[in-house]
Amino acid sequence: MEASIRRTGRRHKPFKHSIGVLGRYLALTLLCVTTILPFAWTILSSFKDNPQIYGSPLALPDPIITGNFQKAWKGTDVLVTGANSLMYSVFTVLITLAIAAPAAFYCAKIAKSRLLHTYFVTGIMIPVHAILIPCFITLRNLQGFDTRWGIIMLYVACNIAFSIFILSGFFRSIPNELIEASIIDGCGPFRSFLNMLPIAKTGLATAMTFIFLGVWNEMMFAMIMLPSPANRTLNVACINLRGQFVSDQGLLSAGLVILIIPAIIIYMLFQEQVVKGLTAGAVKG
Amino acid sequence: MHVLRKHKLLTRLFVLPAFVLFTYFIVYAVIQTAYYSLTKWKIPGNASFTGFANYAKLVQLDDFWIVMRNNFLGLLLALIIQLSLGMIFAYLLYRTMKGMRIFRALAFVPVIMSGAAVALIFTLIFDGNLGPLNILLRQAGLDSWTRNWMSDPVLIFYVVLFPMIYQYIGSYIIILLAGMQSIPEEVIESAQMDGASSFKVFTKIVIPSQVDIILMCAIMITSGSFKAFEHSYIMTFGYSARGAFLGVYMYITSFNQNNFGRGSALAIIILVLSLGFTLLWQRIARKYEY
Repeated sequence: MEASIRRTGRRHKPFKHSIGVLGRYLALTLLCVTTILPFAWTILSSFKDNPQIYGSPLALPDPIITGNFQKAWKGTDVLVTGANSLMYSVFTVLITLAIAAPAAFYCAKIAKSRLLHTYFVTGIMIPVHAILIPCFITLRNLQGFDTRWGIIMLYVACNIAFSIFILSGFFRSIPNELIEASIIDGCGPFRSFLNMLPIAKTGLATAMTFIFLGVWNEMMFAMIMLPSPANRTLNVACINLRGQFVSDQGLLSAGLVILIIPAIIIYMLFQEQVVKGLTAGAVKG
Repeated sequence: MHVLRKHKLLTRLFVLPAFVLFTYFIVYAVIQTAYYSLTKWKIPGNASFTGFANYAKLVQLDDFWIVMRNNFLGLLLALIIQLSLGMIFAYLLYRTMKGMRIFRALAFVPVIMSGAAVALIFTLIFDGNLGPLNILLRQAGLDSWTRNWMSDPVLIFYVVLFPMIYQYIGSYIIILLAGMQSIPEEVIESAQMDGASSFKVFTKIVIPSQVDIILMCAIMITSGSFKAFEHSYIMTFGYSARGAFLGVYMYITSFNQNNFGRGSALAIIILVLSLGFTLLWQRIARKYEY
């Protein structure tokens, strides 16, 4: 599966007798237009005032209104909530990888049996609802409720299983001789683990984008565990925006555009990794 | 790696933080949920053991069965629509050389978005008065087609389900496409040489060779359907049984109705159904492995 996602270059020749080339492109264009249309409409609406939105939903904005963005910027308190979302995402990525990479290395190269690996990977199948209430109680008991470190700790815990699953595959592919050589060079186990990290960099990038987008897009934990406005995420702020301005579609669209831009940037920069991370469930485990 | 195993103590530190966090926040938490599901518990206050009372109560509630029906009907529709459209579009992409990467990249865009963002967009689109759907229908002279999409007790289920199916279809297209790309070229080429039409190739070669990947997608769709939360929560403005799934029902029961015992029981039902179906699909998949 992994290999086949990468292998997109040379394929068999297209069918010679096919009369449906036009139909095929038509169908694919239709798919992509339908896929993009809701987002295109949102972006268009974010630059319109209400008469324009209700008058002709799919027309280009004329004139272009930027007031929606000013209002949404203030309404979602982007400088606070956006910074929060960014902080939770970045710290969760860094801490999870710092914890999961050595653990994955241990599972792949040091542990005698696959037991520990299976233990971690089984965690992927556990739906988040099954841990929601105890996590809520635990955070309250640890004074971590409504704190930044509390939510980050939770996000880290939730991403360990997946990260070990992704990374251990890459570590397993490292030939033992390479590690032996680095031990002979006088490296300790930790040093030789660090030496092996570059080999797993595709895996690290895949896990990184997956965790980043997961935390950026997460709603349920953020809603429950972070009630105070100072700790709120941008995702939740956008939902709250609807509560305040229920019929101001231009304003809400602008908020949504602000929310989805970082995800789109990540996708454009790391397209291959994002796709791999979000479809990794299909890899046989 | 025997050279590394010499450093027993040091190498154990490699796995210790992950092990502790994972065990405490995931494994132990599941056990706690299982225990809480056997208690009566409101906050503030302590949990008191009541055996299976929560489960017995749940099966008597109308809302529970409405939500269960929604969950299974939604799952069935998601399986049918996402897998069939996924296969068709994956095959169309598979047959396309020029521009395949662009189509593929665009089809995946909704998958990277937050469920909340997509749900909010569709809340705006389906809005009965101001939403573009009704406006466009009116402008097209189809006034009789307009509905109060979000407040119709029957339609609300489909209105909630639509963006869920729409948002994640791209990931299945890509997974199925990757599976098709691993079919040996000779197989397709020789079938073509024998004069098989592209439809024949699809039904006789592509589909049978992809059964295990299709089942893998079925596992993802199934576990996703039991976790579903954002779309329903946002589009029904909190909760409405007719547009809710188990995940929302569990959340509302616990955190809005302060019934953590019954909420835990629902969490365990979600866990059991989700794991049960995953194992079932895996068992079916094993039959198709050669």
